Amino acid sequence: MGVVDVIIIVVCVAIVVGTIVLGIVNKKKGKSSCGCDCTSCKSCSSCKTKKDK
Amino acid sequence: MKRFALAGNPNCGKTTLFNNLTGSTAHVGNWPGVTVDKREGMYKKCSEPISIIDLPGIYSLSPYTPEEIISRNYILDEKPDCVINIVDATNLERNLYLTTQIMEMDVPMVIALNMMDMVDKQGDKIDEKELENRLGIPVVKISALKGTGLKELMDRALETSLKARKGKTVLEGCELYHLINDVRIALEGQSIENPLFHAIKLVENDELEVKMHATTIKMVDEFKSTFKNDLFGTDFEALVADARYKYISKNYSPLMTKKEKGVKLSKSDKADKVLTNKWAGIPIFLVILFAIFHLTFGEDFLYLSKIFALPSLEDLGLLVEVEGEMVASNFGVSLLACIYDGAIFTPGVILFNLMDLITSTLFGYITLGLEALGASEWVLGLVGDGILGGLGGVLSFVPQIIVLLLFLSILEDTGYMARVAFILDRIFRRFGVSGRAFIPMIMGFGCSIPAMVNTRTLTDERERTLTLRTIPFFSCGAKLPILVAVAGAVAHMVGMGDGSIISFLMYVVGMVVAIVSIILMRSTTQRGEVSPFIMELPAYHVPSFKGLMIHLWDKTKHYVKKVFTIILASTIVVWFLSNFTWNWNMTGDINNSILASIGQFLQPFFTPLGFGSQLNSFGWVFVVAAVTGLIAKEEVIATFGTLGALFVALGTGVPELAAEGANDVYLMVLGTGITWPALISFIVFNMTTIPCFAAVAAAKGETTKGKFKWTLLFWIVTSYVVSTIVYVVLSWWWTLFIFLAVAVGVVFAIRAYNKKHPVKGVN
Repeated sequence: MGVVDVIIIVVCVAIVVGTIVLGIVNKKKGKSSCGCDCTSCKSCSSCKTKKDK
Repeated sequence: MKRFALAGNPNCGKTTLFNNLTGSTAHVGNWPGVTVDKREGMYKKCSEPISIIDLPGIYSLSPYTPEEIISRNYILDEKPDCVINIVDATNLERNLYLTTQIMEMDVPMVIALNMMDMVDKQGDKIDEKELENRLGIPVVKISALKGTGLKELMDRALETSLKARKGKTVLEGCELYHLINDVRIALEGQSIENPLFHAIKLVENDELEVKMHATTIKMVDEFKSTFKNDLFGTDFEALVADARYKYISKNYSPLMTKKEKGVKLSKSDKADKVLTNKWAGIPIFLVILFAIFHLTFGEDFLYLSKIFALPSLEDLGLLVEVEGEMVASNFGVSLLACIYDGAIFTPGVILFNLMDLITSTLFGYITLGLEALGASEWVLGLVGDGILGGLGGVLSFVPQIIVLLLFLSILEDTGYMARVAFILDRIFRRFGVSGRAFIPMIMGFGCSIPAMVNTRTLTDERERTLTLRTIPFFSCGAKLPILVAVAGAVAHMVGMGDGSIISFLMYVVGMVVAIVSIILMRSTTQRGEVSPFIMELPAYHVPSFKGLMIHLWDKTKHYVKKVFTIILASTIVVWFLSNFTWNWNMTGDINNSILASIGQFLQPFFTPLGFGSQLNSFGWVFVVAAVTGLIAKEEVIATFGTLGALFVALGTGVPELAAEGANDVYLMVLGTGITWPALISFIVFNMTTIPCFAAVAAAKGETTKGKFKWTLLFWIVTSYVVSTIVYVVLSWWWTLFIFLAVAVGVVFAIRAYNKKHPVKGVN
């Protein structure tokens, strides 16, 4: 396995893990599961940030 | 940091002003405890940054709606440094009613006299200096749409925020003033803030005030027991409202001088005579809707190639043969091919082709680069076929989604959408919902999530449930790739040439399914009266370019973000699952992969829909695509894109259909033997089934726990039944009569049941 192969694998794993982690973090922050910051979701009920509570 | 609040009537231009002042710094959230939009942003052009809060549009500060309660509580409790009251100068008298109420609070205040461009255009005049004198509050003329007067407004507001202000009332000449004054003094004695405002509300018998000031209300009630007005009796609220309007009429309305126009209809009225005409209104709307879809999806602009015999690029000798395929002779021809090839493409398709050209060129370089760097075969497969194949299929649709959203935003911002809701109310009522339900439904064409949130505007619980459940049937932008790609493949299979008509028909099918579902639910689980529909029609106006672009950017940003996160991650996972066995060994036969075994397990369930066990050993690809669509609907085409390369590797011939997405779908057709009725059924299934997880989360937030599980079940059953009917009828036309007979039987059974168990107010 060459260097390029390793880099690609690492990047892919980072993307998949990062997306899952981002989803979990957003959920804990009370943001939407789609990861939007609510500017386009127009205050869907799951888009409640701690600031509003 | 200073905080300014924007307050005003609905449609007074508050949001336009807010967008102008805050631009991309705006953040939208929720007011805690209630389900109304909270918009916050920053204004940075003053000597110090100012936080701007856009309060909900209200007509008064009485506590009847969540919006009114939010606005008044915000001003009373949060004590903004200044309230900017936006007044629609073309509707001065009605707007000043709210002004007279805000004035009674102890808060610095500035009036922004908006829509001055329209006042000037009509030849009318307002003496804002005299208005300022009489109100005792700074008045600034602005046009939020044109962006004029905004700096002066904010400078004035900042200057005003530096001085404290005592509430003032216009009710000094009213019969109730002595009582109001006595109550005010009593409240001042109790060190209550904003005593004048609370005093007036107590006299009006405001629910919230009565609860808050239980001791003071006794004094008010003693007086009320001896008071009676000849006109209003003991309706103190009406008395106060009448006094306000009388004062406004006498002291402020004369400050506006209207140009002598005679009985002349405004431009809006003239337009409405046609667009909201009893007979022409709906056909005009359908034509506009068809035009939007044609300009977005159509491959033959205005069907010109049907009228004139236009030569193709091959006929013009601009293509050359390379390895048995006709390709563009140079980059210039490639660009031309994006716009024309035997037919002039529509704007949506032109942008799609351009995006496709850019992504395929870029991705080609990436793959070559990796090859040059010595990447192994499987990595080339992962990146080229998996990631780029999947992403390419989805990114190409970004321009078309933008075009569709642009047209819908134009309809919304011009005020036409409100008219459509009004003219459809008559028809919607027959099905069991009011015209108000149309707005969230039409928003569903963009994205289901804000559409579901918008159902909060429906006050009737049943109507809200009905609308929420049918929103996914109005295919969102994410389903567009599925529609276009599969419709393109179907068109090729049946020899139609252009899949845009099939795409349009599928949208119509979605709407028909929505109507039938509403009627069924209204007759069974959601029986009840249809709520009344009262709505203010805003004047038509040309939307501002900036406002449109902000709208569009908001929606596009969300889509692009989704592509590079969820969809990118999903394509990687799908590629791995389709190339590895359960033992984590790489396999050259896709039928031995993890994905195949999952798909093969689920495949029999989809047999009635046409893409189940009747397909060959590769038939599971459709099941897998439909399941990955639950993550995000674009993932369906991304999955086809990823799997398409595997089919090519198996020796399946590669067709050359106009759209990349359609090529991938046609590869599935060649590889699985699926019929065109089953493909149509596949589209219908994806259009009507459970939407993406994000939309499901939105639906969960808008319904009670009990109703949510029924909503999920509703989506699963509806999509399964409708897709089955579509597949069976398209495959064996005579079965239509059987289904019709069953439908008639069901209708009679429901009617008989409802007759036996009537609900009040319902036929």
